[in-house]
Amino acid sequence: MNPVFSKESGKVILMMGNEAIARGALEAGVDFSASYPGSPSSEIQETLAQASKLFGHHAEWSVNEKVAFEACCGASFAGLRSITSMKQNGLNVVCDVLNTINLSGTKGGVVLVVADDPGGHSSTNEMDSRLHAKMAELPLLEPSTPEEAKAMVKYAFELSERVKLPVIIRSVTRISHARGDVKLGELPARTRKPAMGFLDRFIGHPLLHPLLHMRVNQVKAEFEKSPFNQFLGPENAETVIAASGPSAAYALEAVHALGLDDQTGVLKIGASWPIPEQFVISHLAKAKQVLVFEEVDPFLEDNLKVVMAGAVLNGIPVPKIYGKRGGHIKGARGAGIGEMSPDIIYDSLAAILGAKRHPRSEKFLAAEKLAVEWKLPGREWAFCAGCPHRASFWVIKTALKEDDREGVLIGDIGCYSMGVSKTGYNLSRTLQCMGAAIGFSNGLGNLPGFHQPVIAIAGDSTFYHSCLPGLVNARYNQAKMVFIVLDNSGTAMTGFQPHPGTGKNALGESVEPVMIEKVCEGMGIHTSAVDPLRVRPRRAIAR
Amino acid sequence: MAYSLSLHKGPAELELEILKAGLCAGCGACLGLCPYFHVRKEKVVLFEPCGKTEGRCYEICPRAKLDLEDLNQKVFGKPREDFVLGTHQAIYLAQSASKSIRGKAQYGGAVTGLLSYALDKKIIDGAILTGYSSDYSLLPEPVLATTREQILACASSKYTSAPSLKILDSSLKQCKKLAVVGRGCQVEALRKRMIVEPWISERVALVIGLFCMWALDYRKIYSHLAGQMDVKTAKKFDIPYNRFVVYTERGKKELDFEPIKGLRRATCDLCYDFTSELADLSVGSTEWKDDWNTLIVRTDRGKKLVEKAKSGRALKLEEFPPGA
Repeated sequence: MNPVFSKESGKVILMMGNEAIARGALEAGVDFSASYPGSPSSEIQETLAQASKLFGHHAEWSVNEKVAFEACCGASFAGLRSITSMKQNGLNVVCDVLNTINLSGTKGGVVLVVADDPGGHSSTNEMDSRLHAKMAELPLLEPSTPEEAKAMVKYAFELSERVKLPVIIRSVTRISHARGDVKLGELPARTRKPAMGFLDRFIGHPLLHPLLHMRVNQVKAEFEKSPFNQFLGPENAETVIAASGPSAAYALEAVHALGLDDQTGVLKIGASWPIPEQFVISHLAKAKQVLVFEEVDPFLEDNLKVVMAGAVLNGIPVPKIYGKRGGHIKGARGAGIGEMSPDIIYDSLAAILGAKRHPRSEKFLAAEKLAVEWKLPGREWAFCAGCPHRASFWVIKTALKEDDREGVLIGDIGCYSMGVSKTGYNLSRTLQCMGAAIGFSNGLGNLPGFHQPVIAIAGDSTFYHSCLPGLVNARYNQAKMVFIVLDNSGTAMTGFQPHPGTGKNALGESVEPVMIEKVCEGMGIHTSAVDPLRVRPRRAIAR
Repeated sequence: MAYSLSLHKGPAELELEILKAGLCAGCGACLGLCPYFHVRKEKVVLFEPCGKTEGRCYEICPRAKLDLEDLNQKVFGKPREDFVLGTHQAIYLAQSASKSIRGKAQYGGAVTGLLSYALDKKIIDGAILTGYSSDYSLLPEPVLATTREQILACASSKYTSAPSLKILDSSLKQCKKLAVVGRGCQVEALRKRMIVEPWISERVALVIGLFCMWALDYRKIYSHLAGQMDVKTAKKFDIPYNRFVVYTERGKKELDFEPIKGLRRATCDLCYDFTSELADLSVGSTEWKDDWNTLIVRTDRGKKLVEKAKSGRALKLEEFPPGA
């Protein structure tokens, strides 16, 4: 059995952050989980799907994040506890309903885990999804270790049920994919019975905006006393580091390494939105200077500055704040860009406080020299051996070349995103968000005087995720294009999770597949299914 | 193998100066040399740069530098004296003696008749001709014919520029005495190739050039026809004296010829080799006698074949001009 599902409470085991999040949901007695995969979040639902057979909760891979979240809200409406997980791009897909469900409120606990990808290791952006929490006025928690992530999930369910709002937990790659000691808690029996009472109505309406504000204030009051917000170090420290997420752990490490423990305080903000004003003022008003560390945007920094501005107006002395806005805290590519790291924190502390870093040991320097001089060859992105996408791009390249009308390939998100690189002959002209290719082609395919043939592509999972409205629109408005669904039988880039076309569900059970070609045919679109490894390029040509 | 090349240019220049400039005649000479050139619907493209800075592809292109005087000297051993018809020994009206050949042929069936005779007598063991594509209507496709039936199946003119030299190299692997039938540009390319690789001239037993005033652009004529008829049912088309006739599964349809003239390949306007001057024999219409061809005899081996075919009763000849 997966040790993540162990019943031995009190035992400490090494867990990936995403597993800890899943464990947290199990310890909260979760009833329902739905998700669409996306790095670095995918293992949360993979673990919950695996757990489903043991614990009996519903677990599904939904077609997209919005459907997944709405399904979770559905479970909540019936009084059950539900959790959804996604990457930062996924939260954008959810955004629409997020800004009405906040008004209507929910019933059973709803937790939305978003795992951000600072540095964009496997994303088309590195957006900071915390701003969604602020925009939708929803409670936000930011774990700084896997252990804390588990605790936050349990707390989030309770909070969600107390204030009748979904709670957002913002993880990042270095939490989700990091491993740490996690102490197992009790696994309660699930006893909730789903039911919708006569008064269970969930109507999003601006009339309810004051109610939302009331709830936000309730959350804020709770966050003022939250154990996730802590001040560590000497109370009268002149220098305070305010940090959230893994940056808090980095900061503690850096302070200790620089020998600054007795003169630097660390204000760890885990329950970060709405910002607990009194807690913040009580700890920062005594300091002379504050350094703010977080990933990616200056979210905490801005919130602190707003609180400090309010303090100034009330005649409270405030410290100088060093952060990304002033360019004081930045990585190699600039402030507010890329991941935070202990090195950046070392360098910033050294520059601002004049502290010196300990020199590296001889052994480290020798190993570093060896590694640098070894000069590993650079590696290009490439499709996996045997993937039909290789053949598909070859066929498309050949067809476009032979056709010789400067046809354009409008790319989309998935493994075939690599169509922008050498492995796809640099064919793709666009790389944006899921389903964007068919959308863009609705424009390009309807331009009078534009004679270049348009080929839009999408993957099999992307097809179900967000291509259907664009496809109907193309049919309806007669956009001229060839739409190619590159089917490699799974949501491949995130780890081959099943999708509606695979005939398997999240639990590995066989289900009736939703066939791509039948969906297209049903829309009245001329459709043919071809094997790119067998097709003669000239026959696959765009007309 | 290193070739002795004189132009010192390669695929990049071929693409820039010829293909992208719209000068490609679609002869197909570059296509069989390497996998880097592709043709689709009679449009040649450089699929990928091969990395070489010079190559045969540029050297043998009929739209690259063409020294007709030099080629004339090399093919006929004498300077080009007749600037209208090119070097020649005789001109005849000719037709195949076989009624079945004439029935299938465009005019007198002289080319089909000569080739079947040459194949029968083992003067040749195969011929590069053009048939029709099985994938696309009206699209000619290169064919290596090695039997009488295959030669007959390729009878009648195609009016777009089939890239038949595409199969030259593969045909040379199969045949020791190959016949090549082509338009002026194709005969030029073949002769240029023979300068670079003299062994090819030993393996090509006969070059028949066709009269050609211009070739239609396949893609343009196709879309023109598609606007006026169900072009998928079209089997072939013909241009008898300023008329344009399409043969379909349900009979024939005549179209206004004037707009169609504008659909010729632009590169054909640059060509002055109307009678395929560098061939052994050149064949075309008479422009007034439907079941006869005009036949220009240029080389000794051409002359020998014509005489043999005549005495072997495969070919009928009349004096040209008639009554002269």
